Amino acid sequence: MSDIAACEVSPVAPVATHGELADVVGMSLFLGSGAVLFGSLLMSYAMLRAQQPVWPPAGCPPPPLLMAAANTLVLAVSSVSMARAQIQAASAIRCAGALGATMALGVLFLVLQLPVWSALRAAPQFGLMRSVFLLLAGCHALHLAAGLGALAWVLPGALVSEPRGQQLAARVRLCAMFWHFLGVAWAALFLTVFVF
Amino acid sequence: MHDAHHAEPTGFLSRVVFSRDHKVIAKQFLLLGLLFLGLGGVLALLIRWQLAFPGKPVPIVGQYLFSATAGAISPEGYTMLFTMHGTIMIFFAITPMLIGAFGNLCIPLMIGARDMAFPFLNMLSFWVAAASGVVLAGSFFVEGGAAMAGWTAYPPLSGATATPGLGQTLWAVSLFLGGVSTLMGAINYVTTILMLRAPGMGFFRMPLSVWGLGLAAVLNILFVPVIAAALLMLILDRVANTGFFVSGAQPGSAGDPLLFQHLFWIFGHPEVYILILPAWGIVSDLLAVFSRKPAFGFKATAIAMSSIVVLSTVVYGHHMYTVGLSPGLGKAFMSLTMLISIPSSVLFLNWLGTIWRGSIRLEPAMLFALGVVFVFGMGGLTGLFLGAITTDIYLHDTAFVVGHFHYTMAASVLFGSLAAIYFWFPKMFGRMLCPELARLHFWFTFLPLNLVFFPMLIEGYGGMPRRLYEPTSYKYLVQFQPVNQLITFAAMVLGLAQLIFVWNVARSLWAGERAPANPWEATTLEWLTPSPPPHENFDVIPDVHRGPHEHSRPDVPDRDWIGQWESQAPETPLTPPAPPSDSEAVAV
Ligand SMILES: [Cu+2]
Repeated sequence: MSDIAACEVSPVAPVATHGELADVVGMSLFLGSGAVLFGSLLMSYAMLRAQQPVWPPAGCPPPPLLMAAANTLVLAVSSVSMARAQIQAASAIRCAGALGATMALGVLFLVLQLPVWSALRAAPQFGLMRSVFLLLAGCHALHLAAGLGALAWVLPGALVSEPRGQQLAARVRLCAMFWHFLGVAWAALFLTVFVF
Repeated sequence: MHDAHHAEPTGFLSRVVFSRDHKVIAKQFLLLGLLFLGLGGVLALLIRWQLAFPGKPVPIVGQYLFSATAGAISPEGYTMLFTMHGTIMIFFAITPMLIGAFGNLCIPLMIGARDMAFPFLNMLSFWVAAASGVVLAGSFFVEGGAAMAGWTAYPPLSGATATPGLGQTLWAVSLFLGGVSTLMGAINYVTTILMLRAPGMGFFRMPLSVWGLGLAAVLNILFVPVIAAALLMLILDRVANTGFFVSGAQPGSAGDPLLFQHLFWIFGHPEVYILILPAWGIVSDLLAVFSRKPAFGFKATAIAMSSIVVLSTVVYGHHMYTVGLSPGLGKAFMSLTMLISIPSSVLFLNWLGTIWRGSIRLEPAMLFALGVVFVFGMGGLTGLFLGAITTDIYLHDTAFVVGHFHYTMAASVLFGSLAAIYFWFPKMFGRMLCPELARLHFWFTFLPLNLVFFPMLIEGYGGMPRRLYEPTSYKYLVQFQPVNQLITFAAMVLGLAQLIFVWNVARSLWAGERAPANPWEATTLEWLTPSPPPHENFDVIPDVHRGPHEHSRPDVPDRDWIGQWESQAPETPLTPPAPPSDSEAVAV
């Protein structure tokens, strides 16, 4: 591969083989069921909240909006970096760099979750708020950790450029689908729990 | 990755235990399902013993199982029995048999694929199911025993206060794992059907078994996450003292026990169809094969099944008429529920249309398929009484409900599984079962089964509550005691009759006649390849030339079937130069 070819911003690699297409279909179905899972949890949250006379419950401080917004920003940037990795899948080094940045931002997101969680825990009466947040954010964080695991599996391959071209692109595509899904799920969670 | 030929693995572990071959995984699921079917059946007999002879020591096994109470079943023990019977039968017997075993066996073979789209995920699906089965079976042995909150596990009964034991938590964990396994299977099934069909295998050339299994998988993908969410919250309520389902347990907490019921039935109603759709599909195919006729209204059946899938997502409220739903909402759920009878009737009439004036061969698989037609009819008719609010309020939580859902979910699906076993056993194991023993098995299953479940309808109509420990404690129920005893005797016969089946299978595996490739003269792709099929199923992936039920074509003189893989009937031109009117009438 010449440098010129690598410098060109190539479009996202098209799905090449039948097997790759099957992988995309399988991942889409998986994400569909993931959407139902988060949807069910958010619906449960809405139903419990609708029964409260005031929200947040008496004695509970309002959820830490600013910290959660910082979380959202970090995850949004990580999605952009994931998209860059996908675009640059033709160049193993650049792709690996973008993947590494995505992972770092993912870890940063998890670290930034801690102050949000402890702010909620510190509330004198955290009853239902704690339950809801433990569940929604915990579920999301576990999925994100799984996403980091997947990236950690793809990244070394990209660095030694062992899976060349098409194969790397196919792996990064699946990771990106999952990662963007996590971004959307967090956005929905952020809007329901922190903004409204 | 998916198209290349793979060499057959040779080691014992990779061939038999951690196999990625869908046919081996199918056998593993079948074994798992049959083991739990036996366990669930024994629990059912213990329940029946208590109902027929309340408080009397259980003969033979009682002294070992209930030594603390001198062989009699305690109220807690009884609660545990019916909780675990329901859970085991639904999630660990019928699901592995119909969906795990026959989903795995049939889908790749019938659509002409070499294996599932994701063989590794498929293997994982079985082992997660096995692990969840171990957790559930293990919960019998923890302190306080297994779960006791009913198979529906409504809070606050299933909360940490009412059922503090570890058993109830393990129940929830085991179901969650079961859901993970089911989801892995479902993603595999749908991807396989979408992506790996043989050339020429359009959707409307797929056998109805594949339709049923595929639609059930779609429902699983959509609704297993809902019960997973409910189970997660239940587990957290129990171990982390959250308060999703407990009202006022702690300050600032206002959980809602009804939230669980909503989530449970949003999943629970489709679950009925998840189990019965594969059975419907299998029955639709078998009736055609053994009537030697094309399936009547083939496309209409497929469309009816699909519309039932859509409708099944919006009717769950009929399980909650008595919880205080707003009357308007109740009426909406009732109307939607009644709407399901339209596609169900299409399906049912199409079955009758298929056997109407057919050349019926009463092979054992056909007997069981006809059994499904009968018991599903019973289940559907009794369902009308429970779908309508006015009658449901009276019949709610009575033995009528038990009779109804056993006809619908237990009997239909059990017969569907047995029909499938008798039909595909030769393909799976390469041996024939003994048809005489199989017919004996059918009659000793079909007749006692109706003697078990029909009287329950009468008892329920007479006001007998379900999940009742001591039926003679109410004066007005004493009159039903002879009926209860009749049911129990019938259940014992039903249970013993299954030994005929076990003997038949064991005998056949040991010394059964070798099965030819196509013993039933059927037309779908799995009968093209030898019995049992080789690794990766087909030497060459067949081209598909026609629909799945081409029987008794008048332009084919020699035999009454043409395989989907045959471009031409043997030694016969497909469209003879004779007057075209005949052949047009039967052409697809
Ligand atoms: Cu229902």
